Amino acid sequence: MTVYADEHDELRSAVRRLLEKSAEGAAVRATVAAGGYDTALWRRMSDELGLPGLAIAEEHGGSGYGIVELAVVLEEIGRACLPSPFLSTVLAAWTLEAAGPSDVAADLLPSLAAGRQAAAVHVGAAGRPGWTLEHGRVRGVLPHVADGTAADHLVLVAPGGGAVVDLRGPGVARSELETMDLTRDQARITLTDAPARVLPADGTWAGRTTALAAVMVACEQVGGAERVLEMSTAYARERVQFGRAIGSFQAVKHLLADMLVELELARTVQRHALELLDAAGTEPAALDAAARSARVACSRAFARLTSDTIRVHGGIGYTWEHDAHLYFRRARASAVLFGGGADDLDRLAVAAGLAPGGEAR
Amino acid sequence: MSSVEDLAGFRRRCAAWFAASGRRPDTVPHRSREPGAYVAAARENQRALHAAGLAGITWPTAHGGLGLGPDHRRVFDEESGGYETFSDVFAIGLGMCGPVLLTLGTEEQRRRHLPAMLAADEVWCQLFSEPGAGSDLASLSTAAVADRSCWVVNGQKVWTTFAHHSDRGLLLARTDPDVPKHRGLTMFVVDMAARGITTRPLRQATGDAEFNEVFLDDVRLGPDDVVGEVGGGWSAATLMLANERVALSDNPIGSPVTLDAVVDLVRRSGRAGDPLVRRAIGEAYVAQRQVDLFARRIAAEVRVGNDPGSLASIGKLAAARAARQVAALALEVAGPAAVAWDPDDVDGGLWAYGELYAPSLSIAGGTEQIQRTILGERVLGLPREPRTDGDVPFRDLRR
Repeated sequence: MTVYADEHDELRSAVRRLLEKSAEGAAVRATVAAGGYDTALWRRMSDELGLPGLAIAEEHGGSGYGIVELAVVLEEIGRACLPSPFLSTVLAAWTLEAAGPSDVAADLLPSLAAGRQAAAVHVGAAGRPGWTLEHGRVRGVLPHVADGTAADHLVLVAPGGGAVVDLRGPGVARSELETMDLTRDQARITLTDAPARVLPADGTWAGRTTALAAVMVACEQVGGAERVLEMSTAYARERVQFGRAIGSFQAVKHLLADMLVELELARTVQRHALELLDAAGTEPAALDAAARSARVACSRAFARLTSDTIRVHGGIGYTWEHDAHLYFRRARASAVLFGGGADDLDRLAVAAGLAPGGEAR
Repeated sequence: MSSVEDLAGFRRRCAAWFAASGRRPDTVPHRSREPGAYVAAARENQRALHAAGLAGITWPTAHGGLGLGPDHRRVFDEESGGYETFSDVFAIGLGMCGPVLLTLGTEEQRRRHLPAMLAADEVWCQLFSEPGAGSDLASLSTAAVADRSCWVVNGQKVWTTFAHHSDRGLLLARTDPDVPKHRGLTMFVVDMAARGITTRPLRQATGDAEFNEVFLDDVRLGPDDVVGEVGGGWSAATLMLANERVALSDNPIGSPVTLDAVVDLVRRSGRAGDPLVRRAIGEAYVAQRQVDLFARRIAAEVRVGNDPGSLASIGKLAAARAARQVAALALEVAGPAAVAWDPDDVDGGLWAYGELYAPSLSIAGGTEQIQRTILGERVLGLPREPRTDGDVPFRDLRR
């Protein structure tokens, strides 16, 4: 638990102050109703706090911090259940930098760091990247690209390489999908010989991007789960039935205790994965196991807590006007972002000592 | 701090000792079938560790310890991997009674008992639960009545793990029945060989007999046997139980069936390609990882001087759940072979034993319901259940 230091508390309170003022439940629902995200708030997150550029090198217009700082922001965005291009954009930027010096990185990073442009990321599964690259042009249908509706650029990642496509350029067709999660848009993107800039094919950055994507989502999930437990606990303390606060009944108290157990166990796995990501020289296999464990544990915990919060709140928690369903929706949808859920358990069986089971399912 | 042994040197010393003197689990007497020989081997092992200067890693040097920190403790745990450490025999003494004496004991008590614990001259037990006081420990009725400067104890204890192999115990008894139940308790050091103490082993669901009933009939204790304050037994007991939860959230004390053993079973039984089995192994891996990492988190809290207190309840709940999950998975993979085996097969009963052992982890050290209540009230700050026994003198309570 040493991953966060005192200076991270300052960053955390700065982000929380801004989001509490501008993105409490009603504001989030207004944004949801309007579609997309609150561009004025994004501007403030960028201009006042420099959030999108936190982990981008100073030479590219960022402030040169690392993924631990990103994790703090993601936990706060998760708490607020905020619709925001932050996750996809910083994941794209990190990938561009991690892939090594390139013209495309030098071109894009300053505008991503400033929050002037947004990017989406597609993480392909092993053996099935979902796209092909020939003579600098990409073909493929990407059925679910998170934050793909409004993004300016798309970073394609597959084991062994990647490419960047300008989503406003030729050969790109996008259609916005209906989404269970009302706080994060998804698009189907069809690339028909779209011009692409190729990222270096060597190194381990593609594997690290896959791990980073899993851990970043886990950070959002932990933040959301934490907020959901706070809402539930506060309600159980104030809601009176049978002449007592319902939180004094064991049936409710023990349900809340189980929520706490799930949250804290998930948080522990998330922070360990973050530590391994942040440390130089973590072995790829250890990083992969840690990131997948974090994804499984945090996805489960968030799903469990968002179900249980509706049970604690009773009827009011099941209404459209209550925030509970926003978190509930996000929990289900975030579990399958960036390849989540597909073969995590099978890979973890390998980490536990079984032989690889052939082609990933 | 140059006098503190550096981690690398300590690691070499641990590794050298285990290589030369460590016992492999398959070379020690069977815990269930030869319990007496098992405990004798445990004492011998601990004695040798102590002689080599590897006992009491985090205890103060003034009391026979090494005065080192949790990092050294972790190094020792890592180097002891694959060797039998007999942690079950010493968990109560070294993990619980020792820390309580360190905090609350008199100088004389510490001087007399702590080095003896480390050298395995004294194995300790915990005389807390009673037939009428389980989860509601504070309602216990074993009475210690003042007789001039001494105390005369009468009552019955139960579920006293390893009492029949123990030399000493920490006893919780009622010294004042005229005040509310939490306020009339006192903790004592008891010599298990004292006149008036009768220990009867109880057989558990596994068939093992590791815990006992202990009868106390006119057992005489002196003023020097009081631990902490007279009437301060509840806070002493709370301290002891907090140490117990920390110990129980640490995995080594857990199930006899490990995930590695089940993975090995999966391979040997030709089920390694079964997608359902692979999923279940993946699930168990995550559960085990949560337990291990949470134990590390608690150790880190201790390292910086924080009291992990109620958070240890999370670790205990998680450890019990993971142990149940792994034991059940072994049973599922082994199938009929888990429930019927050749008498000559010494490992034949392992999966059944693990499954029978698992429920105890949900009860030992405070039931899961008690742990959840602790979390709800002390961590989440939820209101307490209305009580009928708060301000009532013990003698007027319904029992």
